[in-house]
Amino acid sequence: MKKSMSLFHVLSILLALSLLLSACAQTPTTEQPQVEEPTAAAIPDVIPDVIKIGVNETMTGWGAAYGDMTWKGIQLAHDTKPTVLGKPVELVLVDNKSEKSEAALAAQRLVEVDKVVGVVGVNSSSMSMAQNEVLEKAKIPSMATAATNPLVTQGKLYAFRAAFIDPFQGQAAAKFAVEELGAKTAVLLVDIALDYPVGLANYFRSNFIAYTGDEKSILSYQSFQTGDRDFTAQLTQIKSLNPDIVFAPNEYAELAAILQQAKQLGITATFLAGDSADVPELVQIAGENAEGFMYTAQFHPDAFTHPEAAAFVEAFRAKYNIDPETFSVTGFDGYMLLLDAIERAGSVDPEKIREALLQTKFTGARGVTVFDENHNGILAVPVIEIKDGKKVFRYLVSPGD
Amino acid sequence: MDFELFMQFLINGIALGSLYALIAIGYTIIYGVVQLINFAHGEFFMVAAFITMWGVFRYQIPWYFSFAIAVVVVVGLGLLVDRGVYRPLREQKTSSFIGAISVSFLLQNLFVVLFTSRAKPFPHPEILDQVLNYGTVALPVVNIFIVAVSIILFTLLFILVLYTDVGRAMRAISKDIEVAQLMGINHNRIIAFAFILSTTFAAVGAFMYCSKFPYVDPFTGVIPGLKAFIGAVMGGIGSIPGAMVGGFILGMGEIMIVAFFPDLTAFRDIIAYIILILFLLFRPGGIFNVRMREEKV
Repeated sequence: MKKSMSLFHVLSILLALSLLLSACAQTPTTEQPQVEEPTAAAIPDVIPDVIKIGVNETMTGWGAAYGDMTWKGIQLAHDTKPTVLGKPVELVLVDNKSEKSEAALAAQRLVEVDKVVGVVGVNSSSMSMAQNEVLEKAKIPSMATAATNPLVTQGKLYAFRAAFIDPFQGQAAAKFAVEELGAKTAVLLVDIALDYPVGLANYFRSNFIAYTGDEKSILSYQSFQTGDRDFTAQLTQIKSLNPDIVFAPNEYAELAAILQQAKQLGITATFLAGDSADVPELVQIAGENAEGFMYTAQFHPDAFTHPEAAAFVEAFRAKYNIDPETFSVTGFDGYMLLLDAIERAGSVDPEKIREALLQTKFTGARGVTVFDENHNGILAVPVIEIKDGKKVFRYLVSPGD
Repeated sequence: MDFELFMQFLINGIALGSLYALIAIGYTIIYGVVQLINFAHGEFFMVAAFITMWGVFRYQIPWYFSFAIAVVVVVGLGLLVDRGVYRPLREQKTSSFIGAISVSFLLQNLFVVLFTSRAKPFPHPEILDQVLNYGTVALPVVNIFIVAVSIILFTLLFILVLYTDVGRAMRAISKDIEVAQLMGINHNRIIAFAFILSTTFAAVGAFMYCSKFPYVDPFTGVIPGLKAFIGAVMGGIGSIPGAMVGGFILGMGEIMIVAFFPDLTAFRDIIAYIILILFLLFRPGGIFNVRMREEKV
């Protein structure tokens, strides 16, 4: 009896752990859901009465803040340009709960139930990848928003994105750290459970080594996993190494906790991160611990001053009474870029939209946007610094720098 | 590693270990009297943190007042869940286990719907942001606070369990529920009391955890709940000293792995789960070798 009871305990506890882990929204899974080949309903080359654009976003789950800001940008874009080809545009929003499997299911729903002609989103790289597997098979053009991992569009015919990609973002951060801040050494502090921080940290590492010309300029690679909140052990190691820069391209809430604990431990290095830091809650949570923190972003109102940017910022402030940031600008530009292509294609035929997208030369909120051969936006990278609790534009890295 | 660096790791480890110990107590109190692994414990913890935060930001009441309301609400919630879910399922172990997991997901999703899942700053007294510096060693005041509150609560709990009638009744029930009932102990009342204790520990733990790691979202309880549960099993679930020691060792271990084996940082959760499995296989009674009452059947 004793033996069977302990075995029962083992099994039941393992079952519970696996259930908990699979349900924990913060634990990304690597499995891709099996997606059936969508029924290839031949799309007639007539323009429907209503043009449906799908929006697949992280409205709940760990990415809720990002999804909400992206959706704000998309709605403003829809207000600005509510018709295309003489027909009204209808936005169909689906929530992917910040889970990869749900992102694929949401994409499938948009294709099969809502029969959208194109999709805007997702802001997250992991979820865009899951979505694009489905959309590529269904031949539906997609426009990822703030997703910056190269794999989102690489090798895909119909997948585009309204953002620069991480190889360039990592280069921009390294260039800024070395040329503007005069940094000679850096440490990486990375959430190894997500695609975005791991990818961006690697691009920063190789570029930092290239700019400093010193193989040993990256002193250490410290890791943690999504959901961790105690970083004191990693930060104590970092303190003993005394680097110039700590590159920590993680989610905003974890970043806030990192900045607070770093300040408590008396670390004087400059903390640098990527565009996932561009969320107002970061400063609200970290408070004065965020002073001097810097990050690369997709947008800052002071970084782009051409008329289209000024009009966007003004309209955004008027509608929401806050400043636009990385996520709303990529949502706004994403919608605009897709509609611009549909307009020029003169059709909702995916082939024609795709060809029009390849020819894109559209002036959005971040200047003239063109796509490179892998469908990624060629755009400048602003660097933002937190000063007196405010986001201050500090530096701009342009493509080709 | 020099002495000051080691002291820094030690300070970090003591704080994290105390937090895990405090949360682990909640699992062990319930398991001790009903042999139920209350997987909703992490969610009681999250609810307490959320209500404290919400009172301050939405209604502008002082944090201590808001926290007091949170304790009352979470204790009420614990009693409600016990009466409405666990008590009807008490005779079926597997069902009550699944019931606990369901309550956990229910509360997480309910809070996502009610409050969205955007992380929000957690209000706490400003003194807890202060740091004392000794040479290069930093001692955050919040760490002192965590250790002091833990010691006080553990002492009170020991006095309660060892020297009061209700404590004796709890111990009697954990030894043999039928005989305890024959001796005139109303086991449902004692179990309800155990839920009051457990949820109070969850609320205090939540306040300290979120004062140290200053934000709250509906998934706040998941990771600390899981870690504390591993600690409780390591120490011997059902035993109060077991949960304290197990939780403390786990927290200290998480810090010390990074301190002495920085290359193994990525493996620290894996190591924790391997240790859990080894304990379940070879020493299911944990460090304190707790013998549960089913075993004599």
